[in-house]
Amino acid sequence: MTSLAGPLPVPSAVRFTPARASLVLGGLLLVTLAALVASALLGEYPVHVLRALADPASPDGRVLFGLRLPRALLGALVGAALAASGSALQALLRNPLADPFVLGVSGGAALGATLALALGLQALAGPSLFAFVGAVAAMALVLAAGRARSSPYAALLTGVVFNAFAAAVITCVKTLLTPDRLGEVLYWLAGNLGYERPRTLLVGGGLQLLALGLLWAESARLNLLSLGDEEAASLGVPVGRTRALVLLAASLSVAGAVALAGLIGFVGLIVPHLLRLWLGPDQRFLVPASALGGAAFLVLADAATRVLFPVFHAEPPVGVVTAVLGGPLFVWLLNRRDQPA
Amino acid sequence: MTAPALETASLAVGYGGFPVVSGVSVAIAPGSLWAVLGPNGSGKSTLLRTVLGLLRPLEGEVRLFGTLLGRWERRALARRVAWVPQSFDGDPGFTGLELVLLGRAPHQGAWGLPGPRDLSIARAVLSELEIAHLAGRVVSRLSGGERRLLLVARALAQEPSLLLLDEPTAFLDLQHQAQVLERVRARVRRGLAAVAVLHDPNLAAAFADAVLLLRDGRVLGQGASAELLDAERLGQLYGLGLTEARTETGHRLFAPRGTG
Repeated sequence: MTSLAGPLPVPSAVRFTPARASLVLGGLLLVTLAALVASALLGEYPVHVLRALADPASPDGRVLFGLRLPRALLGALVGAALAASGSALQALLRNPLADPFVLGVSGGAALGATLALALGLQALAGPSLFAFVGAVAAMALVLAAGRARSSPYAALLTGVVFNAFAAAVITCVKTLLTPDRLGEVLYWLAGNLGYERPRTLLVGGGLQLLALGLLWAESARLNLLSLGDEEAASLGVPVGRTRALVLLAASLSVAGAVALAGLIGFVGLIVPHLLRLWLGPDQRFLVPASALGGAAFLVLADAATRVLFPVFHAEPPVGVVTAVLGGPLFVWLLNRRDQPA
Repeated sequence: MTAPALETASLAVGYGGFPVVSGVSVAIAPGSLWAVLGPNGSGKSTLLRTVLGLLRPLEGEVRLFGTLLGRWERRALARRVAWVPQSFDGDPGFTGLELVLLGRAPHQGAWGLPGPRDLSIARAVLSELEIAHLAGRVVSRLSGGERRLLLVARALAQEPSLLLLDEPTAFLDLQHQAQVLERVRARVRRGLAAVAVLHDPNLAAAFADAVLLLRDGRVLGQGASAELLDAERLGQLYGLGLTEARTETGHRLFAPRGTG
């Protein structure tokens, strides 16, 4: 047999097999755990793990279990949500550039949080609650619009238009705020990981487990949907129901993430993109791999903000770090992919 | 007598309430290959889409294997009816074999893990169409003709009882045009029912048992291709003068008059 070995590696004909999936996902799980450990140890205050483990009430213990670990877990939760939803939405909308925020979720959440901050509702997790409500409301609006036209582009376009509309309203609100309130709004909008209470983490974790579990359960049908609605239907997929289910799960997941951490960009774009280059387009692979990869990426990006503290004498919002890392990386990836085979 | 694989009665198809073609009443039995011929925009693809349940019929009814179209559950239908679409716009980056395996989806569990049988069927179909070398290639980097062959392979891997092909020979070189239709023919001899939208009356004359001719929103003629296909009727169908010739093997050939 003649072989035309080009410069591009020929992928093995079927890339998703249970054996390979266990190996890759197991590896990614180890990477995520290592990122969590590294993040828990990194920071201004050096933590002695043994001392912390021996006496959780010691200063070391309180920093590790009260501050670092919850924050790292929050980062893992948010990163997993953004990356896995991003992967699913990119398949569903058949657009590799779809961001988890395209469906108007970011605009809705930002609008909700901005209103909460402007009204002085910082207490009782006001911004988070308002952000969640705003995200879900925006999602419902976009879903309704997409339903009316039964086209993935209708949802996409409505999301983009809604985000622009929300940005205008937010700008309007900002001009009316006092400087200190304005500062809070700007910080929230930049996306950052704070110190959440265990109960909040538990609720958020439960929501993500449900939403991402649903996405993974639908991932085989999602593969078929990525071929186009009509082909998917001809291959036995109940298109309307599957699309609504995936949009709902992805939007809930993103809304949950935004409520906890504000708008953290690029995680949902860059992580699935990198993994797709490696693993191929199979969503049964990409959804869980993106969840793990997104968790590791955001946990490390957050650790970087703490490492950067001595440089800036303040922690930059983690959303800034992901954008600074993600922007150039993405441009590089795009150019790499455009190179002739 | 077994029910026809596909039966339509006074069917009108179209978009947004406007019929593209109406009055289609055909009965396509297992073991027959029908060609649908007609000028561009005469409703050939719309007809296939409607039969597949992707579009709602404007009038009339469609029965598949004796059961009304609306009564079919999607997955059950996908196990009996396969479709080779006209264009392939999804470009997610699957390999050839991954794409063909997606044709096994209606037969697999909900999570679609291919078993040994699925893999052997997919590989057999690839070999049958002589495209085994595309198994590990990324579909988005293949030529239009190679993609077309993979879509045919995917539909065959679906192991349908009724195969709907929308211009299966588009983008294919002469050898592959004949090859694809020969493979379909061979399955038709074993009991498959097939409907192919074709643009080349010569291919229809060579391969189809029966033809359905669509023009100006109605059925211009239907029946055995040996009786129906002649220069006059095809000239009427396409709105141009045609000449007819016969090869020494008895095949009819049609060509526009006045060329050469």
